[in-house]
Amino acid sequence: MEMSPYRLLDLLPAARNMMDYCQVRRDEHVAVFADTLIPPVVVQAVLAAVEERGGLPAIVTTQPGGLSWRQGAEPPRAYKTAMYGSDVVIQLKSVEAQTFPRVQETAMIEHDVRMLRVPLGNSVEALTEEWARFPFEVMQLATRKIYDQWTDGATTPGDVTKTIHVQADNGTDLTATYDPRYVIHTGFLLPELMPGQWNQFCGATVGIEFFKDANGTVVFDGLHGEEEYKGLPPIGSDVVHPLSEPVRWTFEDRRCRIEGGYEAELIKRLIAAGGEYADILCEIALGVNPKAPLATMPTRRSGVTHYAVGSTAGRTPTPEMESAPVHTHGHLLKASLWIDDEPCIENGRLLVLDDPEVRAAAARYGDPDEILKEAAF
Amino acid sequence: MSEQGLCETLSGLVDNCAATDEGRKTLAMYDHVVQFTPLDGESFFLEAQDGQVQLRDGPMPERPITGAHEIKANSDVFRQWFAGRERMSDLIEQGQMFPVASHTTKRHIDHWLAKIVRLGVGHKAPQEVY
Repeated sequence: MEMSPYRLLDLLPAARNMMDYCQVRRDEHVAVFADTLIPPVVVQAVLAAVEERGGLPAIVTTQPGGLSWRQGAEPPRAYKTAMYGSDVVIQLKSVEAQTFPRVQETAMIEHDVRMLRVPLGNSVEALTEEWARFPFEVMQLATRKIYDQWTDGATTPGDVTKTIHVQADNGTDLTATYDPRYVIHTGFLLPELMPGQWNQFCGATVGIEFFKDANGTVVFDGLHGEEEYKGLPPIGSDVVHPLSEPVRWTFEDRRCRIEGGYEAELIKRLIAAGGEYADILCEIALGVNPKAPLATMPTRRSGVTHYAVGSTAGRTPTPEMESAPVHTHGHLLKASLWIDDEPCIENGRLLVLDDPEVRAAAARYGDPDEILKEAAF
Repeated sequence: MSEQGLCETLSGLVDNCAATDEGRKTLAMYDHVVQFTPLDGESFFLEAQDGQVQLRDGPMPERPITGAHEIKANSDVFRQWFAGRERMSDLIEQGQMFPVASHTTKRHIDHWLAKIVRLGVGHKAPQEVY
């Protein structure tokens, strides 16, 4: 393991911000799950922040990496016991992958657990950067406003259909219709993280994971989120950027045709092994954090939109309708996006970051212009 | 057991819940309406307002999704859950129960329902065991 050049005090601001994201309270039992690639100083900072809040921390050290959401496996009993018996679980992970997702679901849905996922991408440095200090209150408010725009008019029971349209100078022009009950928000729906919910430090996403129709083309700047991508440059990262040539997904009645260089050929192989529904559009989403690092967290970055084909079965939304054992992603850095003709992103700028209420919330933490300005790619 | 029986069974679990402090606190967590839709039978719904929870037969009136949820499953799946023989999260994972929402939107309500059923049937949580 490399020695970290960072000290506890360098990491405490981010660790304290984690406490805001999962709202640790006095006398709550907090299990910190950290894999062996997480430097000890990070764990120490998180423990110190938990104790500052009056929480009762314990550490569980795990193997690095993890199983992707589509793989089923059972962890050791001690792992489950620690997770099920805690009020809050903080997962410090060297890669962005859901580890033992079935156990996590049981912990949250059955055992009152609130969860914070902290993907570090093998980098302590990430926790010293601006993105890790982005205030929870601002993140939650911005995310909720986007969610409300994307679900406006939705009812239960109901059959409302909304339209999402994405356009970019690189040839992207995609229109899809969706049932707004299937809009996702990554745990930022309420001002308080409730039992059963999780969120991601510090990166909300809002998206749709089930479509009624999709037609048009999206042209990617990068790919992310597959173990197989780690074999592409930059080697070892599941974020592939830049691409050797643009990857184009062209949709007709939701079904995807893939074109591009060797990266596109890899996606074709993944989809070919995924069965009947593997080429169906199953996700359009955006990030909310204007400082999220592109190299490790492109999906969390405000203005960046990401897309997937396959399905999300196994993560619970629509297994009765369509199921595929793949969920294959790409992302686009700078686009414009509309919901029912109402703008959401304009030429890469996430418009909610200019909302007066969001700016007022940001002003409680510093200069709103600085807090809400996107970092350079 | 008929679909009428499912509604009555859940109503009984809610009554059990209301008999304890933790149960009353749980029932008061959210104001929400939840329709249970048996794929092979008639719907019923739960309506919670200020801690008062009522069960009614029939479909729920259409509501904005911010205050409403729907869960679909076969009658026997609901029966197993309400009897405490199966857990909600397992039934979702196994593709036997279908919350009509994305996997993030109604997680807190799914947890709330799972807890009402758990307390109603008298199962302890790990936090109470250790």
